[in-house]
Amino acid sequence: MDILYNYALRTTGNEDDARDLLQETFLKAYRFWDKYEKGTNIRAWLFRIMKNSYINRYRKETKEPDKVDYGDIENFYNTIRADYADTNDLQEKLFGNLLGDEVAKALEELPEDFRTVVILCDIEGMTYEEISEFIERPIGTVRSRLHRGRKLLQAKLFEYAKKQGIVPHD
Amino acid sequence: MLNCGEAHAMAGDALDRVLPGDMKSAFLAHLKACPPCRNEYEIELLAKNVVRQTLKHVPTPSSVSQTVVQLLRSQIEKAQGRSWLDRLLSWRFLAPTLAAGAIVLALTALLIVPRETSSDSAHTAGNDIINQSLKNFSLVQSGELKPSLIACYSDVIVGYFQRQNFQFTVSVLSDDSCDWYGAMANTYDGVNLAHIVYKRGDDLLYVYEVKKADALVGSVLSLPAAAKESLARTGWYTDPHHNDCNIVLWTVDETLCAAVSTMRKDRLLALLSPR
Repeated sequence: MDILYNYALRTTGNEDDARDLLQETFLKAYRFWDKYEKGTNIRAWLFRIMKNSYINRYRKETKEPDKVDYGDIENFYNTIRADYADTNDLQEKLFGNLLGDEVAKALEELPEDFRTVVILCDIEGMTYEEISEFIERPIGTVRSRLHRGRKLLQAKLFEYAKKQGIVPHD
Repeated sequence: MLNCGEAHAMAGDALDRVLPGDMKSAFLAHLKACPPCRNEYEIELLAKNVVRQTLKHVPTPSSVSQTVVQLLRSQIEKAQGRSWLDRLLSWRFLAPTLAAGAIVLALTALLIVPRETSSDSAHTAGNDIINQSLKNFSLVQSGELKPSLIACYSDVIVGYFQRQNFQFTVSVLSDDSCDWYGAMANTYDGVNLAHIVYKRGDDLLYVYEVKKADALVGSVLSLPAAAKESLARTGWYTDPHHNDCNIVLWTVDETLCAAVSTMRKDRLLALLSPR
Protein backbone atom coordinates (compact mmCIF):
# COMPACT_ATOMS: atom_id res chain seq x y z
CA MET A 1 0.00 0.00 0.00
CA ASP A 2 2.93 2.34 0.69
CA ILE A 3 3.98 2.70 -2.94
CA LEU A 4 0.40 3.55 -3.89
CA TYR A 5 0.01 6.04 -1.07
CA ASN A 6 3.29 7.75 -1.90
CA TYR A 7 2.42 7.95 -5.55
CA ALA A 8 -1.00 9.40 -4.66
CA LEU A 9 0.59 11.88 -2.26
CA ARG A 10 3.23 13.06 -4.71
CA THR A 11 0.74 13.24 -7.54
CA THR A 12 -2.18 14.97 -5.87
CA GLY A 13 -0.02 17.08 -3.59
CA ASN A 14 -2.08 16.70 -0.43
CA GLU A 15 -2.99 14.02 2.08
CA ASP A 16 -6.77 14.29 1.72
CA ASP A 17 -6.76 13.75 -2.03
CA ALA A 18 -4.15 11.02 -1.65
CA ARG A 19 -6.39 9.19 0.81
CA ASP A 20 -9.41 9.54 -1.49
CA LEU A 21 -7.42 8.31 -4.47
CA LEU A 22 -6.15 5.34 -2.49
CA GLN A 23 -9.68 4.42 -1.41
CA GLU A 24 -10.99 4.76 -4.94
CA THR A 25 -8.18 2.54 -6.18
CA PHE A 26 -8.96 -0.27 -3.78
CA LEU A 27 -12.69 0.01 -4.39
CA LYS A 28 -12.14 -0.32 -8.11
CA ALA A 29 -9.72 -3.18 -7.57
CA TYR A 30 -12.38 -4.96 -5.56
CA ARG A 31 -15.00 -4.22 -8.16
CA PHE A 32 -12.85 -5.41 -11.05
CA TRP A 33 -11.13 -8.24 -9.21
CA ASP A 34 -12.26 -10.66 -11.91
CA LYS A 35 -10.14 -8.67 -14.40
CA TYR A 36 -6.94 -9.30 -12.47
CA GLU A 37 -4.82 -12.01 -14.07
CA LYS A 38 -3.60 -14.30 -11.33
CA GLY A 39 0.16 -14.67 -11.25
CA THR A 40 0.82 -11.20 -12.64
CA ASN A 41 2.26 -8.36 -10.60
CA ILE A 42 -0.58 -7.20 -8.38
CA ARG A 43 1.27 -4.06 -7.31
CA ALA A 44 1.58 -3.05 -10.94
CA TRP A 45 -2.11 -3.79 -11.52
CA LEU A 46 -3.14 -1.67 -8.54
CA PHE A 47 -0.80 1.07 -9.63
CA ARG A 48 -2.35 1.22 -13.09
CA ILE A 49 -5.81 1.45 -11.54
CA MET A 50 -4.62 4.34 -9.41
CA LYS A 51 -2.97 6.13 -12.31
CA ASN A 52 -6.07 5.82 -14.47
CA SER A 53 -8.27 6.94 -11.58
CA TYR A 54 -6.07 9.95 -11.08
CA ILE A 55 -6.17 10.84 -14.75
CA ASN A 56 -9.96 10.49 -14.89
CA ARG A 57 -10.62 12.27 -11.66
CA TYR A 58 -8.09 15.04 -11.37
CA ARG A 59 -6.73 15.84 -14.78
CA LYS A 60 -10.20 16.87 -15.92
CA GLU A 61 -9.83 19.82 -13.59
CA THR A 62 -6.69 21.19 -15.22
CA LYS A 63 -7.39 23.81 -17.80
CA GLU A 64 -4.28 23.36 -19.88
CA PRO A 65 -2.92 20.14 -21.27
CA ASP A 66 0.52 19.10 -20.10
CA LYS A 67 3.18 20.88 -22.10
CA VAL A 68 6.91 20.42 -22.14
CA ASP A 69 9.15 23.04 -23.61
CA TYR A 70 12.40 21.24 -24.24
CA GLY A 71 13.86 24.46 -25.55
CA ASP A 72 13.66 25.91 -22.06
CA ILE A 73 15.51 22.96 -20.65
CA GLU A 74 18.31 23.33 -23.17
CA ASN A 75 18.46 27.07 -22.47
CA PHE A 76 18.75 26.31 -18.80
CA TYR A 77 21.83 24.22 -19.38
CA ASN A 78 23.36 26.70 -21.74
CA THR A 79 22.84 29.39 -19.10
CA ILE A 80 24.37 27.28 -16.41
CA ARG A 81 27.34 26.44 -18.53
CA ALA A 82 27.89 30.04 -19.54
CA ASP A 83 27.48 31.53 -16.06
CA TYR A 84 29.13 28.96 -13.90
CA ALA A 85 32.48 27.62 -14.92
CA ASP A 86 32.79 25.72 -11.67
CA THR A 87 29.68 23.79 -10.68
CA ASN A 88 30.91 22.85 -7.23
CA ASP A 89 29.84 26.19 -5.83
CA LEU A 90 26.71 26.31 -7.98
CA GLN A 91 25.50 22.93 -6.76
CA GLU A 92 25.62 24.04 -3.19
CA LYS A 93 23.79 27.25 -3.95
CA LEU A 94 21.41 25.82 -6.49
CA PHE A 95 19.69 23.05 -4.61
CA GLY A 96 21.16 23.12 -1.13
CA ASN A 97 18.68 25.72 0.12
CA LEU A 98 15.51 24.41 -1.47
CA LEU A 99 12.78 23.28 0.89
CA GLY A 100 10.81 20.08 0.63
CA ASP A 101 7.63 21.98 -0.31
CA GLU A 102 9.36 23.60 -3.25
CA VAL A 103 10.72 20.31 -4.49
CA ALA A 104 7.31 18.68 -4.03
CA LYS A 105 5.64 21.48 -5.99
CA ALA A 106 8.18 21.22 -8.78
CA LEU A 107 7.51 17.50 -8.96
CA GLU A 108 3.73 18.00 -9.00
CA GLU A 109 4.07 20.38 -11.91
CA LEU A 110 5.77 17.81 -14.10
CA PRO A 111 3.69 16.27 -16.85
CA GLU A 112 2.01 13.09 -15.65
CA ASP A 113 4.12 10.59 -17.60
CA PHE A 114 7.40 12.15 -16.50
CA ARG A 115 6.36 12.64 -12.90
CA THR A 116 5.36 9.00 -12.61
CA VAL A 117 8.75 7.59 -13.58
CA VAL A 118 10.62 10.13 -11.44
CA ILE A 119 8.52 9.18 -8.40
CA LEU A 120 8.93 5.46 -8.98
CA CYS A 121 12.67 5.67 -9.63
CA ASP A 122 13.96 8.47 -7.43
CA ILE A 123 11.59 8.22 -4.46
CA GLU A 124 10.50 4.60 -4.50
CA GLY A 125 13.88 3.33 -5.71
CA MET A 126 12.38 0.96 -8.25
CA THR A 127 14.45 -0.56 -11.06
CA TYR A 128 13.85 0.25 -14.71
CA GLU A 129 12.38 -3.22 -15.17
CA GLU A 130 9.89 -2.73 -12.34
CA ILE A 131 8.88 0.69 -13.63
CA SER A 132 8.50 -0.75 -17.11
CA GLU A 133 6.06 -3.33 -15.73
CA PHE A 134 4.17 -0.73 -13.73
CA ILE A 135 3.61 1.66 -16.59
CA GLU A 136 3.42 -1.03 -19.28
CA ARG A 137 6.01 0.64 -21.46
CA PRO A 138 9.39 -0.61 -22.75
CA ILE A 139 12.50 0.07 -20.71
CA GLY A 140 13.69 2.46 -23.39
CA THR A 141 10.61 4.58 -22.76
CA VAL A 142 11.28 4.50 -19.03
CA ARG A 143 14.83 5.76 -19.65
CA SER A 144 13.66 8.45 -22.00
CA ARG A 145 10.93 9.68 -19.66
CA LEU A 146 13.27 9.67 -16.72
CA HIS A 147 15.81 11.70 -18.62
CA ARG A 148 13.29 14.27 -19.75
CA GLY A 149 11.49 14.35 -16.44
CA ARG A 150 14.65 14.97 -14.51
CA LYS A 151 15.79 17.71 -16.86
CA LEU A 152 12.47 19.43 -16.54
CA LEU A 153 12.51 19.05 -12.78
CA GLN A 154 15.98 20.54 -12.60
CA ALA A 155 14.84 23.49 -14.67
CA LYS A 156 11.90 24.07 -12.33
CA LEU A 157 14.09 23.84 -9.25
CA PHE A 158 16.51 26.28 -10.81
CA GLU A 159 13.65 28.72 -11.38
CA TYR A 160 12.67 28.45 -7.71
CA ALA A 161 16.28 29.05 -6.71
CA LYS A 162 16.42 32.14 -8.91
CA LYS A 163 13.16 33.55 -7.54
CA GLN A 164 14.40 33.19 -4.01
CA GLY A 165 17.76 34.72 -4.79
CA ILE A 166 19.58 31.51 -4.00
CA VAL A 167 21.24 31.87 -7.40
CA PRO A 168 21.53 35.17 -9.27
CA HIS A 169 18.97 36.22 -11.90
CA ASP A 170 20.05 36.28 -15.54
CA MET B 1 37.42 7.47 -25.51
CA LEU B 2 33.70 8.29 -25.54
CA ASN B 3 32.49 11.42 -27.26
CA CYS B 4 30.03 13.81 -25.57
CA GLY B 5 27.01 12.30 -27.30
CA GLU B 6 27.86 8.80 -26.14
CA ALA B 7 28.54 10.00 -22.61
CA HIS B 8 25.27 11.90 -22.62
CA ALA B 9 23.38 8.75 -23.60
CA MET B 10 24.93 6.86 -20.68
CA ALA B 11 24.33 9.55 -18.07
CA GLY B 12 20.93 8.24 -16.95
CA ASP B 13 22.15 4.69 -16.42
CA ALA B 14 25.21 6.00 -14.60
CA LEU B 15 22.97 8.10 -12.39
CA ASP B 16 20.87 5.08 -11.49
CA ARG B 17 23.91 2.85 -11.09
CA VAL B 18 22.94 0.40 -13.76
CA LEU B 19 25.83 1.08 -16.11
CA PRO B 20 27.97 -2.05 -16.65
CA GLY B 21 31.51 -1.86 -15.21
CA ASP B 22 33.49 -1.31 -18.40
CA MET B 23 31.08 1.31 -19.67
CA LYS B 24 31.11 3.02 -16.33
CA SER B 25 34.89 3.31 -16.49
CA ALA B 26 34.68 4.80 -19.96
CA PHE B 27 31.95 7.18 -18.84
CA LEU B 28 33.93 8.39 -15.82
CA ALA B 29 37.03 8.80 -17.98
CA HIS B 30 35.06 11.04 -20.30
CA LEU B 31 33.75 13.15 -17.42
CA LYS B 32 37.26 13.60 -16.13
CA ALA B 33 38.38 14.96 -19.47
CA CYS B 34 35.25 16.97 -20.27
CA PRO B 35 34.22 19.64 -17.69
CA PRO B 36 30.90 20.57 -19.40
CA CYS B 37 29.72 16.94 -19.34
CA ARG B 38 30.97 16.56 -15.79
CA ASN B 39 29.11 19.70 -14.71
CA GLU B 40 25.89 18.54 -16.30
CA TYR B 41 26.18 15.11 -14.75
CA GLU B 42 26.92 16.53 -11.33
CA ILE B 43 23.83 18.71 -11.49
CA GLU B 44 21.72 15.71 -12.46
CA LEU B 45 23.18 13.72 -9.62
CA LEU B 46 22.55 16.54 -7.22
CA ALA B 47 18.94 16.99 -8.37
CA LYS B 48 18.26 13.29 -7.98
CA ASN B 49 19.64 13.40 -4.46
CA VAL B 50 17.63 16.52 -3.62
CA VAL B 51 14.42 14.74 -4.67
CA ARG B 52 15.34 11.60 -2.79
CA GLN B 53 16.31 13.42 0.38
CA THR B 54 13.52 15.99 0.54
CA LEU B 55 10.69 13.77 -0.68
CA LYS B 56 11.35 10.67 1.30
CA HIS B 57 9.19 7.60 1.04
CA VAL B 58 6.30 8.13 3.46
CA PRO B 59 4.71 5.16 5.19
CA THR B 60 0.95 5.04 4.73
CA PRO B 61 -0.66 6.56 7.84
CA SER B 62 -2.34 3.86 9.88
CA SER B 63 -5.62 5.82 9.84
CA VAL B 64 -5.59 5.72 6.03
CA SER B 65 -4.79 2.02 5.77
CA GLN B 66 -7.44 1.23 8.38
CA THR B 67 -10.01 3.23 6.44
CA VAL B 68 -9.20 1.32 3.28
CA VAL B 69 -9.37 -2.03 5.02
CA GLN B 70 -12.69 -1.05 6.61
CA LEU B 71 -14.03 0.08 3.27
CA LEU B 72 -13.08 -3.18 1.59
CA ARG B 73 -14.46 -5.23 4.44
CA SER B 74 -17.80 -3.45 4.17
CA GLN B 75 -17.87 -4.01 0.41
CA ILE B 76 -17.19 -7.70 0.86
CA GLU B 77 -19.83 -7.97 3.54
CA LYS B 78 -22.35 -6.22 1.34
CA ALA B 79 -21.57 -8.50 -1.55
CA GLN B 80 -21.92 -11.52 0.68
CA GLY B 81 -25.39 -10.35 1.61
CA ARG B 82 -25.02 -9.75 5.33
CA SER B 83 -28.19 -8.44 6.88
CA TRP B 84 -28.66 -4.71 6.89
CA LEU B 85 -28.68 -4.65 10.67
CA ASP B 86 -25.20 -6.21 10.86
CA ARG B 87 -23.90 -3.59 8.52
CA LEU B 88 -25.56 -0.83 10.44
CA LEU B 89 -23.64 -1.98 13.47
CA SER B 90 -20.38 -1.65 11.58
CA TRP B 91 -21.13 1.83 10.25
CA ARG B 92 -19.28 4.23 12.49
CA PHE B 93 -21.22 7.28 11.39
CA LEU B 94 -24.52 5.70 12.24
CA ALA B 95 -23.55 4.69 15.74
CA PRO B 96 -25.17 7.65 17.54
CA THR B 97 -28.56 6.96 16.01
CA LEU B 98 -28.31 3.22 15.97
CA ALA B 99 -30.14 2.36 19.16
CA ALA B 100 -33.22 4.44 18.48
CA GLY B 101 -33.13 3.80 14.74
CA ALA B 102 -32.95 0.04 15.07
CA ILE B 103 -36.01 -0.12 17.29
CA VAL B 104 -38.06 2.18 15.10
CA LEU B 105 -36.88 0.43 11.98
CA ALA B 106 -37.79 -3.00 13.30
CA LEU B 107 -41.25 -1.85 14.31
CA THR B 108 -41.96 0.01 11.11
CA ALA B 109 -40.58 -2.78 9.00
CA LEU B 110 -42.96 -5.16 10.70
CA LEU B 111 -45.90 -2.84 10.35
CA ILE B 112 -45.43 -1.08 7.06
CA VAL B 113 -42.83 -2.51 4.73
CA PRO B 114 -44.40 -5.01 2.36
CA ARG B 115 -43.39 -8.43 3.55
CA GLU B 116 -44.25 -12.03 3.19
CA THR B 117 -47.50 -12.36 5.05
CA SER B 118 -50.98 -13.61 4.50
CA SER B 119 -52.62 -11.26 6.97
CA ASP B 120 -53.18 -8.50 4.41
CA SER B 121 -56.06 -9.11 2.11
CA ALA B 122 -56.09 -8.06 -1.54
CA HIS B 123 -57.81 -4.90 -2.78
CA THR B 124 -57.24 -2.86 0.35
CA ALA B 125 -55.26 0.39 0.72
CA GLY B 126 -52.44 -1.61 2.26
CA ASN B 127 -51.80 -3.45 -0.98
CA ASP B 128 -51.94 -0.35 -3.17
CA ILE B 129 -48.58 0.04 -4.89
CA ILE B 130 -48.69 3.83 -4.67
CA ASN B 131 -49.48 3.75 -0.98
CA GLN B 132 -46.73 1.26 -0.30
CA SER B 133 -44.27 3.33 -2.31
CA LEU B 134 -45.17 6.49 -0.40
CA LYS B 135 -44.83 4.83 2.98
CA ASN B 136 -41.51 3.30 2.09
CA PHE B 137 -40.24 6.61 0.73
CA SER B 138 -41.21 8.30 3.96
CA LEU B 139 -39.26 5.71 5.94
CA VAL B 140 -36.25 6.09 3.66
CA GLN B 141 -36.38 9.85 4.12
CA SER B 142 -36.50 9.58 7.90
CA GLY B 143 -33.65 7.10 7.85
CA GLU B 144 -35.76 4.43 9.47
CA LEU B 145 -35.64 2.18 6.45
CA LYS B 146 -32.11 1.30 5.41
CA PRO B 147 -31.30 -0.59 2.24
CA SER B 148 -29.75 -4.04 2.54
CA LEU B 149 -26.97 -3.01 0.21
CA ILE B 150 -25.37 0.34 -0.45
CA ALA B 151 -22.93 0.77 -3.32
CA CYS B 152 -21.27 3.49 -5.31
CA TYR B 153 -21.86 1.74 -8.61
CA SER B 154 -25.15 0.81 -10.20
CA ASP B 155 -23.87 -2.51 -11.48
CA VAL B 156 -23.32 -3.68 -7.90
CA ILE B 157 -27.04 -3.10 -7.40
CA VAL B 158 -27.85 -4.90 -10.65
CA GLY B 159 -25.77 -7.87 -9.45
CA TYR B 160 -27.58 -7.86 -6.11
CA PHE B 161 -30.97 -8.18 -7.78
CA GLN B 162 -29.72 -10.80 -10.22
CA ARG B 163 -28.82 -12.95 -7.24
CA GLN B 164 -32.42 -12.67 -5.97
CA ASN B 165 -33.63 -14.77 -8.94
CA PHE B 166 -36.74 -12.66 -9.40
CA GLN B 167 -39.13 -13.48 -12.20
CA PHE B 168 -38.58 -10.02 -13.65
CA THR B 169 -35.57 -7.86 -14.48
CA VAL B 170 -35.04 -5.07 -11.99
CA SER B 171 -34.41 -1.84 -13.82
CA VAL B 172 -31.55 0.13 -12.27
CA LEU B 173 -30.89 3.66 -13.41
CA SER B 174 -27.20 4.33 -13.99
CA ASP B 175 -26.77 7.91 -12.92
CA ASP B 176 -23.39 9.67 -12.92
CA SER B 177 -24.60 12.25 -10.44
CA CYS B 178 -25.68 9.59 -7.95
CA ASP B 179 -23.69 9.61 -4.69
CA TRP B 180 -24.74 6.11 -3.80
CA TYR B 181 -27.32 3.47 -4.60
CA GLY B 182 -29.23 1.42 -2.07
CA ALA B 183 -31.09 -1.84 -2.65
CA MET B 184 -33.45 -4.09 -0.79
CA ALA B 185 -35.53 -7.11 -1.82
CA ASN B 186 -38.50 -8.74 -0.13
CA THR B 187 -41.78 -10.44 -0.86
CA TYR B 188 -45.37 -9.43 -0.22
CA ASP B 189 -47.76 -12.36 -0.11
CA GLY B 190 -45.42 -14.26 -2.38
CA VAL B 191 -44.88 -11.37 -4.78
CA ASN B 192 -41.28 -10.34 -5.24
CA LEU B 193 -40.55 -6.65 -4.67
CA ALA B 194 -37.41 -4.67 -5.39
CA HIS B 195 -36.63 -1.37 -3.69
CA ILE B 196 -33.91 0.99 -4.91
CA VAL B 197 -32.78 4.24 -3.33
CA TYR B 198 -30.77 6.80 -5.30
CA LYS B 199 -28.97 9.46 -3.28
CA ARG B 200 -28.21 12.48 -5.46
CA GLY B 201 -26.84 15.37 -3.45
CA ASP B 202 -29.71 16.51 -1.24
CA ASP B 203 -32.27 14.53 -3.19
CA LEU B 204 -33.51 11.06 -2.46
CA LEU B 205 -35.24 9.03 -5.10
CA TYR B 206 -36.98 5.83 -4.09
CA VAL B 207 -38.09 3.33 -6.72
CA TYR B 208 -40.39 0.38 -6.06
CA GLU B 209 -40.30 -2.36 -8.68
CA VAL B 210 -42.51 -5.37 -9.23
CA LYS B 211 -43.35 -7.74 -12.04
CA LYS B 212 -45.78 -5.94 -14.33
CA ALA B 213 -48.25 -8.80 -14.38
CA ASP B 214 -48.36 -8.86 -10.58
CA ALA B 215 -49.10 -5.14 -10.54
CA LEU B 216 -51.66 -4.95 -13.32
CA VAL B 217 -53.50 -8.25 -13.35
CA GLY B 218 -52.51 -10.04 -10.13
CA SER B 219 -54.75 -10.23 -7.08
CA VAL B 220 -52.19 -9.45 -4.38
CA LEU B 221 -51.25 -5.88 -5.28
CA SER B 222 -53.46 -3.14 -6.59
CA LEU B 223 -53.32 0.11 -8.52
CA PRO B 224 -55.93 2.81 -9.11
CA ALA B 225 -57.90 2.31 -12.30
CA ALA B 226 -56.60 5.59 -13.73
CA ALA B 227 -53.03 4.40 -13.26
CA LYS B 228 -53.70 1.08 -14.96
CA GLU B 229 -55.37 2.79 -17.86
CA SER B 230 -52.56 5.30 -18.34
CA LEU B 231 -49.85 2.67 -18.06
CA ALA B 232 -51.62 0.47 -20.60
CA ARG B 233 -52.04 3.39 -22.98
CA THR B 234 -48.71 5.28 -22.64
CA GLY B 235 -46.49 3.22 -20.36
CA TRP B 236 -46.42 6.16 -17.89
CA TYR B 237 -48.55 7.46 -15.05
CA THR B 238 -48.01 10.53 -12.84
CA ASP B 239 -50.08 10.55 -9.68
CA PRO B 240 -51.59 14.02 -9.19
CA HIS B 241 -52.53 13.86 -5.51
CA HIS B 242 -49.35 14.71 -3.63
CA ASN B 243 -48.05 18.13 -2.68
CA ASP B 244 -44.86 17.21 -0.85
CA CYS B 245 -43.47 14.72 -3.34
CA ASN B 246 -43.96 13.41 -6.84
CA ILE B 247 -44.87 9.89 -7.88
CA VAL B 248 -44.24 8.55 -11.33
CA LEU B 249 -45.08 5.03 -12.49
CA TRP B 250 -43.82 3.49 -15.69
CA THR B 251 -43.20 0.11 -17.22
CA VAL B 252 -40.00 -1.32 -18.64
CA ASP B 253 -40.56 -4.57 -20.50
CA GLU B 254 -42.10 -6.89 -17.90
CA THR B 255 -41.36 -4.63 -14.93
CA LEU B 256 -43.46 -1.94 -13.30
CA CYS B 257 -41.58 0.83 -11.51
CA ALA B 258 -42.90 3.44 -9.11
CA ALA B 259 -40.60 6.36 -8.35
CA VAL B 260 -41.16 8.69 -5.40
CA SER B 261 -39.06 11.76 -4.79
CA THR B 262 -39.19 15.31 -3.50
CA MET B 263 -37.49 16.34 -6.71
CA ARG B 264 -39.50 18.67 -8.93
CA LYS B 265 -41.64 16.76 -11.37
CA ASP B 266 -39.81 18.06 -14.44
CA ARG B 267 -36.43 17.05 -13.00
CA LEU B 268 -37.76 13.68 -11.96
CA LEU B 269 -39.22 13.01 -15.39
CA ALA B 270 -36.01 14.17 -17.05
CA LEU B 271 -34.06 11.76 -14.88
CA LEU B 272 -36.36 8.87 -15.66
CA SER B 273 -36.92 9.67 -19.32
CA PRO B 274 -33.99 7.62 -20.70
CA ARG B 275 -35.92 4.62 -19.51
